[in-house]
Amino acid sequence: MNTRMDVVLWGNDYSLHCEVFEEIKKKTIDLERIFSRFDSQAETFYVNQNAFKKELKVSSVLFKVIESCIEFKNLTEGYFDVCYQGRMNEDLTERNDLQLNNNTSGIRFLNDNIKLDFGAIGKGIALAHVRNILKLYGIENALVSFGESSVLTVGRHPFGEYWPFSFQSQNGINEELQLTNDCISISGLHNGMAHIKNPKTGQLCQSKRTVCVVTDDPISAEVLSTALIAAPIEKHSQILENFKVRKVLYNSFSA
Amino acid sequence: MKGNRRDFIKKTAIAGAGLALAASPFGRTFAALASDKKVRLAVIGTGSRGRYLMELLLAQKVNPNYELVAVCDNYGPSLNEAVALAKRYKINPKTYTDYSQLINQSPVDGVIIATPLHQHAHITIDCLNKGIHVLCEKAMARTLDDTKAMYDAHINSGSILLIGHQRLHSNQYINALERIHNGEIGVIGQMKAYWHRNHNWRRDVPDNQPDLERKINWRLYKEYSAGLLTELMSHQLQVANWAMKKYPVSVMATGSIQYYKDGREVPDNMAAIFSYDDGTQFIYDSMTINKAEGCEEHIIGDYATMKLESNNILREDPIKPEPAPGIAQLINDIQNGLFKSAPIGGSSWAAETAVSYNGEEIYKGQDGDGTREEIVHFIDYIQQKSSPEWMTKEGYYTSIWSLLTEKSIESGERITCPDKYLIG
Ligand SMILES: NC(=O)c1ccc[n+]([C@@H]2O[C@H](COP(=O)([O-])OP(=O)(O)OC[C@H]3O[C@@H](n4cnc5c(N)ncnc54)[C@H](O)[C@@H]3O)[C@@H](O)[C@H]2O)c1
Repeated sequence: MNTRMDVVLWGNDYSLHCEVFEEIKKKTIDLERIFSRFDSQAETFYVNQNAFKKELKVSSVLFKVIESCIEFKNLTEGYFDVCYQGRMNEDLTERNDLQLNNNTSGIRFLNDNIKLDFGAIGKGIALAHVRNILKLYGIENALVSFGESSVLTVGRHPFGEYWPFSFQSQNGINEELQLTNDCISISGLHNGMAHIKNPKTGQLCQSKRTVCVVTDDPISAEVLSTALIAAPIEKHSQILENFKVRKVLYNSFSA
Repeated sequence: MKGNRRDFIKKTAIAGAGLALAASPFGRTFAALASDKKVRLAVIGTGSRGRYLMELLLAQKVNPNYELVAVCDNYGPSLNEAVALAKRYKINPKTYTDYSQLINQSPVDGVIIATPLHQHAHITIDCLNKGIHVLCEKAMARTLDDTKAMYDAHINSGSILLIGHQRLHSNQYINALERIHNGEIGVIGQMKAYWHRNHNWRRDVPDNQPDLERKINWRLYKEYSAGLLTELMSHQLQVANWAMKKYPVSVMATGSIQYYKDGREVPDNMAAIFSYDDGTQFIYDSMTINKAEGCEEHIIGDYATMKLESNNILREDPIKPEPAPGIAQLINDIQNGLFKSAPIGGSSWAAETAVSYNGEEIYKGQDGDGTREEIVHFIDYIQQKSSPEWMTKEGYYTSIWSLLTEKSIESGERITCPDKYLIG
C-alpha cells in the first residue's frame, strides 16, 4: 500500500498486544497480495492481465469487494470507480465494464483497456479486517492509522474519554474530532500533487480542497473521501445522502 | 525460500571474502620491496587512446617509479602528435614507426599497446616472447585463434598480460562488485546493459587521402574490428562476467546495418542474450542513433539493483518513511501522560504518498573511469613481476565471448564455446 501503518494499543497485556500486532501485520500483507495491481504475484495483477480474454474465477474476498465497488459507483453517482483507468471521456462513464457471475465467483472485463485499481479503497478494506481482528482478540481501545489518511479508532485514549484529533486548516482553524469507534478518511492533494482522477473526464483533480470524512465504516469513508474530491461541489449533498456519515470537513489551501 | 536465501548470502559472504582480496590488486608494500629501478615503458599505437594513456602517464605522474622511453606509430601524424605531447612535458622519448625495431633496440620493461584491434595479437605476442610485459587495450584480438595465441604466449613466456578493461581498476567498481559478491543485492536474477550513442562513429579522413579511410575508420570494417561488439560491448560483458564470477555458456545475438548505410561492414545496432550455467541471462544491446539511454549496466538481484555506470543502488525495500507527524505526536504525548489532540490533514500533511526513492550512491571518491588506476597497477605488477591471473582470464573470456557473439549474428544460431578455447 506504499504507506506507513501505525498501531497504538494500550493496557497491561504486552504479549497479547504483540500477538495482535503480528496478526494485523500478517493480514495487511495478505490483503496486499490480493489487491495490489503492482505486485506481479497479486490476484488483482493477474486479473488485470487476463480478465478480458476469458472469465476468471476469483477469491471470495476479491469477488465481494468488486461487488461492493459496483454498488459504490452507483451510490457516488459514478465518481468512485475502480475502473477509472479505462475512462477517457464522459461517454464511457455509464458503460458497463465488468461482468460478474455470482454462481462461479467469476469476473470478466467487457473492454480491453479495463484495469481494476483498489488504490483508493485498499486502506479501508484493510481497516475493516483490522477491526475484526481487534474484536476477535477482545481489544477495547486502539488506534490504527495508514499514513494518517485512513484512521480507525476503537474505544478511547488512555488519558481521556475519546481519541482526540484536530483537523487542521491552513488558516489556523482547527476542528476538534472526538473519536471513539470511528473511521476517518482524508483525501486531497498530496505534497501539492494531484492523485485522484475524475472518472468522468480522465483528468486529475487539481482542486486545492482537502476533505475529511468521519463514518463508522472504514470502506465507505474511503469511497466518500475520494468521490468528494472527484465530484464538483454541487454534487456533494446528493452523494452524501446515500451514506451514513458522522461528519464531513473541508479545508482548502491557498498555497 | 527466505531461509535458503539467507544461507546463500552467508555462503557468498564467505566465498566473497576470498574474492575481495583478489579483487583489490594493490601491492604497494610488495612493490617497494621488489625493486627501486624505474620501470621503462613504451606506448605502441599513439592514436587517440594511445595519446590519452600517454597523457595520464605524463601529466599525472601516476607513480614516481617509471619513465616513458619510447613511442611507436606507423602513421606519421599520430607519431608527430605523440612527440609534440611528450615535448609539452619536457620529455623526449625515442620514436619508431615499426614496433619490432622498438622492442629490439630500446630496452623496455613494459609496453602499452593501443593499436587497432587487428594489430593487437602479433605485437603483443612478440613483446611477451621477448620478456616484455604488456598492457594491451581491449578487446584482445580480431580472431578467436589470435586471442588464444595471445593467452598462450602469456602463459608460456611468464610475462604479464593485462587487458585494458579499466573498470577492473576503478575503486567504484571494485567496491560495488565486492558488495555484490557479499550478497548485498541478493541472488542475481538478471543482468542488463546497453550502450546507446548518437553518432555515426566515423572519424575525418584527410581530403586528399581517401585511401586512408580503412586505416582511420578501422572500427567500421570487419577485417579490423567486430565493431560495437569488441569496441563497446566487451567492456560491459566483462562487468557481467565479473558480477557472476563465471563466464557464459551460450550467446544468441542479432545485428544489422539499419541506419548508416555508408559502406561500413559492421552492424550499427545489435542485441544479444548471454546465458550462464545457472540460468541467469545477461541482456545486452547497443545502438548508434539515439543516446537518450546512454551507457549502463544493471545487476539485478532479489534484494536490490545496482546501476554501475551511474553508481546507484536501488533497494527493493528502501528506507522506511518517517513516522507520520500527527500519530508520532500522539504517541509521544501518551508516553508523557498527556491527553492532547493530534493534528491531522494539515498543510504539512503528506499521507499516502509513495516515498519517492531514487536509490543511493554506491561509492564516493572515484575520479575517472579507472584508466589511471589501471596504469598504476600495471606498473606495480611489473615491479612485483606478477599480476592477478584472474584479471588476464577475465580479459580473455570477454574477448572470446565478444567474438562468439559475432558468430551468432552471422549464423543466426545460438553459439557455445568450442572446447579448444576453454582455458579452465
Ligand atoms: N579502454 C577504453 O575505454 C578504450 C577507449 C578507446 C579506445 N580503446 C582501444 O584502443 C585501441 C586504439 O583505439 P583508438 O581509438 O586510439 O584508435 P586510433 O585509430 O585513434 O589509433 C590507433 C593508432 O594505432 C596506429 N597503428 C595501427 N597499426 C599500427 C602498428 N602496426 N604499429 C604501430 N602503430 C599502429 C594507427 O596509426 C593509429 O595512430 C583500440 O583497441 C580500442 O579498442 C580503448
